[in-house]
Amino acid sequence: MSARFALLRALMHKEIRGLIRDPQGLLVLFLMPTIFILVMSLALRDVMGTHQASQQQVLWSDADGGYFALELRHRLERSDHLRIVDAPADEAGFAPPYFGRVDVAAGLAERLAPDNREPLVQVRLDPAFPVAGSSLFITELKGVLIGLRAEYITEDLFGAPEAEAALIRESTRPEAVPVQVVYPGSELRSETLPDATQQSVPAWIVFAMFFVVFPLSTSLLGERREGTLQRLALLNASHQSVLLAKLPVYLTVTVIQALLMLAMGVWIVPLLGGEALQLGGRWLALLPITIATGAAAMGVALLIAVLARTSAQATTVGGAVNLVLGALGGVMVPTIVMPPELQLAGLLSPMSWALDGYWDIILRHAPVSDTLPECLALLVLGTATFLIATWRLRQDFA
Amino acid sequence: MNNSLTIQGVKKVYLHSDTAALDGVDLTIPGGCAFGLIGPNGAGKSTLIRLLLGLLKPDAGQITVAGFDLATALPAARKLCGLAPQDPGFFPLLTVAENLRTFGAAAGLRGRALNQAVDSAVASTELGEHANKRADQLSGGMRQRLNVSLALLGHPPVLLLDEPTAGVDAESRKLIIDVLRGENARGATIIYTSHYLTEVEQLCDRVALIDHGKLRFEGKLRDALHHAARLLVVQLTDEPGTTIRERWQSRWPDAVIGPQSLQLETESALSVLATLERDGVTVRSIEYGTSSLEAAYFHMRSTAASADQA
Repeated sequence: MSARFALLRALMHKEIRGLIRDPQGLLVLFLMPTIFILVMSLALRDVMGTHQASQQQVLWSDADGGYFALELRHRLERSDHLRIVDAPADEAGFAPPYFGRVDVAAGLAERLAPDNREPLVQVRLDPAFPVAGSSLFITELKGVLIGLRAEYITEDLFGAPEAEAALIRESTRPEAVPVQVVYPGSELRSETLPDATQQSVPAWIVFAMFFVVFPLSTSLLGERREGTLQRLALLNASHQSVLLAKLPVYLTVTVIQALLMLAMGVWIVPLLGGEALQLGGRWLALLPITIATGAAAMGVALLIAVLARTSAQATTVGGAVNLVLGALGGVMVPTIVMPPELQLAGLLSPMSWALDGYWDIILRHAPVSDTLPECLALLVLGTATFLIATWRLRQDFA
Repeated sequence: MNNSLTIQGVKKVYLHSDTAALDGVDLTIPGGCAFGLIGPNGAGKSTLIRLLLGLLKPDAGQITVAGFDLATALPAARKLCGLAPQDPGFFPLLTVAENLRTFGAAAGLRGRALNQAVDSAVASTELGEHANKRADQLSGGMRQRLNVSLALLGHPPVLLLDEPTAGVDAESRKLIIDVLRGENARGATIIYTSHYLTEVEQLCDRVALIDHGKLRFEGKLRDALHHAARLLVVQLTDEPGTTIRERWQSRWPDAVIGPQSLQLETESALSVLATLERDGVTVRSIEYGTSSLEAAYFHMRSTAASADQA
């Protein structure tokens, strides 16, 4: 066994003992990400999910009471995420928990006439309600109103007898206008729709993995502060060994963190009423992208830890870098809804590469080989940042 | 092997500092000697230790350790050195034995040689019963013992110890000094800084005083003590007049004349006192013939300050 390998082994033992003998630190290291993923999964369930509990409530006031007004309400009530509640007679406004109020004035049938320019109904919405939710509601409302207007026009023009009128009515309902939606890969599993959990949990896992910068910088800066780096330098220990010894230990920690978070998504989140993460038993398929993501996170974290002079610097810079990479990489907001410039910038974020790799496996059900470009990019980044970090640490050892 | 250290014209100015931490220091530390570096806080002692280990680079000058020029052969020079820094550098979550094994491995020791080095370091610093205790659970004295034992790993021929007994109980201090004496007896060169001058007296055979980045004295300990033995310090009740001061200065050119004090080296204190009496000066107190390094230290510092003013 060469002296260099003996040193590496001794330093790795040191890292492992340091982790094991700090039970509070270890608890935080593994507990925090799992709590994080649990909270995020449950919180996002109501914002982005299709879960029953995510039904939004709207107040409904019907001063018309005719066929079209009743049909409007009836068709809207078929929506999974909408719950319509009658407005109290003495109440003209609305307040949370209702996100808005719909007022159908008398004479809706007349207003459905094609030459009418008056609003068909009045909708008031809480400005604090998410825009995506408001847009979805307005779109649905307009869709139903268009169907009703088509029905009105057809009857008006052709005076269709009851049988034809019923046929027209049925054929203009949304569910009678089928559109085939296919999610590539969905044929490989029983579920057909990707939900919020499948999309957001991988994003938060990737985000959490990059926070390895905190324990890593604490470890390295502690060694610098306590003078152990100086003593190692005096003993002619190589600066590469110091960082290399941390690599497998913290990489293992990061991978275990990711696996714990996946396990939370698969088994614990559904127990608490959230959507289960569907891996379809593809745990092993996730390993390459998880290790590559861990390697990239390690490289970035080591670089920040080596450049920082204090723990405060490392945590501030590390946190800020992670937030920027996360925002650009589509962790908070999917890159697909970003402006083109930001989408382009997002391609530079390793979190977007990692996320794409996770989605390849979890959502697109692609073979592992499809994640190789992402894995390669992440490993190149990890190697490059590691080399820069070792080059920078050399100054402490000079 | 000649374990001497040479420092030639070494100058070091820290970034954003107006004054030199070390200003043209020339010093030769003979191999196998126990060398005491003394001086007030901020004098430049720790800077010199860091320069000797290549942890700092001098702005000017040359340093060699056992013939190895630090500018060109730093790893070879470092291989010969053991350091006990002011702040003990060890892994707090590792035990005493684990720390020694980790740093031993870093020093290139393996197998039986590593075991022997660890056992020897533990035994010499009497850390045996604490060998399996975590470093962060050790008392101050035991921490410094571990600090010294890490420096002793593999018995390096040059040992540098920067105030290794600061904040340490008397028992541990005595043990550390005894251990270092043992290493010196084996032939190790020892460079030792401390504010406990009695320790320097006990351990060292040569001393150097550094003050304001300058070397004020360098020589054998007994010479320094000899200076102290001839040192006369007179405190006066009144401030002497200008004429008298000028007369004293011409008579005793090396004397340090304060507002109400006179300090000089002399073989005959009585003749000096007779002169003062003739000059009509009233003496409040006299101190003479104290052969301690502490007295020598204060005299050397006063002389240096007086020379700087002149």
